[in-house]
Amino acid sequence: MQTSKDFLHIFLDMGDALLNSGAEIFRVEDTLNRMGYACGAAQMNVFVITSSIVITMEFPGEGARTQTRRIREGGGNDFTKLEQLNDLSRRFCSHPVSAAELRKEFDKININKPNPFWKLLGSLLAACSFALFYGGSIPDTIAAGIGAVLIWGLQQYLRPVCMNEVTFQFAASFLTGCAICGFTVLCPFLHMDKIMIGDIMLLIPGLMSTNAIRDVLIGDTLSGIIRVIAALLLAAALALGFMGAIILFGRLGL
Amino acid sequence: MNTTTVIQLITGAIGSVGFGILFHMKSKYLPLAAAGGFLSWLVFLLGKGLWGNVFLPSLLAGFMVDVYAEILARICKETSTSFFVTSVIPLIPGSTLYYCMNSIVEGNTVRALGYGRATFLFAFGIAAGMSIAWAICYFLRSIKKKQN
Repeated sequence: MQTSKDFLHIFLDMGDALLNSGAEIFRVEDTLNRMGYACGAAQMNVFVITSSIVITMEFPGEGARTQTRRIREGGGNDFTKLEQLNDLSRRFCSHPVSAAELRKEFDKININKPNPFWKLLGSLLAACSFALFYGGSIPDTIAAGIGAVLIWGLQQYLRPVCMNEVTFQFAASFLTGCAICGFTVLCPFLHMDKIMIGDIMLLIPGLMSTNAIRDVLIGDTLSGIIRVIAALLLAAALALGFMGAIILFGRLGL
Repeated sequence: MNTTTVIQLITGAIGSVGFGILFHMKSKYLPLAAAGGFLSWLVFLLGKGLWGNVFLPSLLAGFMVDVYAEILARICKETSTSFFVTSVIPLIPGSTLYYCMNSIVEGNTVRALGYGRATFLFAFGIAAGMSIAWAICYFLRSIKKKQN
């Protein structure tokens, strides 16, 4: 006989993984609710915000049980994992299996980490094409590409040692801004604005702010507000970082 | 159709693919991301030609892209999030944020305010557009469920 004790932990893990691979709040709540009812719960209450998951499960014949999970990582995006988790939950809903078996399948999905060199390729492609998109020349595009490699390196090696996301955002923007200002000093034919815009596209919390406003509009007001504040802070850190670099190079008379 | 538009449409599509790779999208869906990026910028440009400002065109583009993502999600049996997020990339207001920042550095508050407002309106327009599309999809799904 399965009890809520067996399932709660794996459900929290699944919710955590879903949130960190870019699922929306309502999707996480909906998925966990469905899975709970599928495995035989009489009552299922799921509350998710960007920083916490609360699940209360009640099986027939036993009392309600609640567990919470604090989410510390910021929302990343990993759509392959998101699809796999979604698929797993769908299969679970049509054919409920035991908690141990669900755990085994989940671990198989969760162990996959995307290759960092794909990220490098993606960053390069995105930064280069947006430098061109906003009217840059071919040399601008190449400079934006170098900036993208720098950002990728910082994300790989600097982010793990940074206190939080905002600190990292500021440091990364400042360093990238300095590098780009340096390029334009060395090669005066480059357009600083186009290069910077290309690289800003990699750092800007644009998706985050869009997601935040959408969360508010579809009813997850609390998560939306948390995300709006986080996105504003990140945007301010980004602007300060690049502005700092521009001012620094302006003061140096370059 | 001038050269700038063509370049923007093509690079917008490539940029969407770039973010698709960055977000670890399945490689077989990357062409769909490119098509989405192309579509979103095309709709935005058409809207801009019609209305001239920022908010309504980005609202229309957000709406169309979400419809596109929902349709693809039904066909491919995947979540609509991945298609929506990659397609909406060219609309993200990176340039207005930069020019807003640049105006602050130059001390031009009026221009900075203008660009700051444009940045906000872009984000709000996309989100509002997709919420409307999402609400309509939800509505249609509920009706379908009731009929069965």
